[in-house]
Amino acid sequence: MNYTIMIVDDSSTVRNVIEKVIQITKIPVKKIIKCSNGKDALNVLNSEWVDLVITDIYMPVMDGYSFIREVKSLTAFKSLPILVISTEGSEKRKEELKAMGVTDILRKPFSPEYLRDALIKSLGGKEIIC
Amino acid sequence: MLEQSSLDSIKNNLANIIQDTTLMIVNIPENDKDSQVVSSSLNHWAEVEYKGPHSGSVYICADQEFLKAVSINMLGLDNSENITLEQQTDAFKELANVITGQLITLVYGKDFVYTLSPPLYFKEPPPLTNNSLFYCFSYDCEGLILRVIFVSC
Repeated sequence: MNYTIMIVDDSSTVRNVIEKVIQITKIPVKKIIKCSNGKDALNVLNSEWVDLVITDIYMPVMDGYSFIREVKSLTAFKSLPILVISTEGSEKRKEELKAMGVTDILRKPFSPEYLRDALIKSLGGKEIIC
Repeated sequence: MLEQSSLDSIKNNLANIIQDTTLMIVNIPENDKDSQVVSSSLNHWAEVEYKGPHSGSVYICADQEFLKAVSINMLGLDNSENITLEQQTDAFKELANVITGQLITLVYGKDFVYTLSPPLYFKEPPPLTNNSLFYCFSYDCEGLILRVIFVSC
């Protein structure tokens, strides 16, 4: 199976870094979709199949919290894995995100190895690797 | 008011975070005067505001060479590649974002909830009033200076 992965972050630097990490993992990727805020990401989700969402929290237009809340309120996306990559350090916020159905939370700065492991875990384990 | 031991600890922790983010070797200069916030050569600024039990801003400032080096490293580009001003400022803003998120928990701990603004980039020094409590940390990143100013209102 080849996966479609969506990256949502207002920083083009972060979007490109995450894309590069995905490309050097052995995860079979069909397509990488990049969005700069939650609103754009929601629009794409309504028209394209996505296997995993990687999202930031603090973004203009629609932040990560609102985006995740919207996604998880829709029956079709209840089981969509969402990985959060953010500068968020508050334990309370992390608990809230987990309660909202987020698969994993990575704190910036992150290492490529840590992201790779989180991606594999979010997509269902090591058997996904070619 | 933070004690000197806390400030030293925060400064050292932040050095590691900057090193991990910029992929540059970061040292704390011994003779740098932290109180000298505004320097004419460091004319690129980024700011992230934080709001919560405390509020304020975190500023970072550096020169053009630093912005270029950071964007090259963060994007994993070759030196020879042309890096646009937009790429440089985006990487610089992202560095401000990471520093702010980490600095908030270093100063106030992980038990409180803070909201951060999207980072802003500008070329004029910020108006730091006498009513603001601020700390300034300087870092030597492979010969290039990065200054971090933490302001609590």
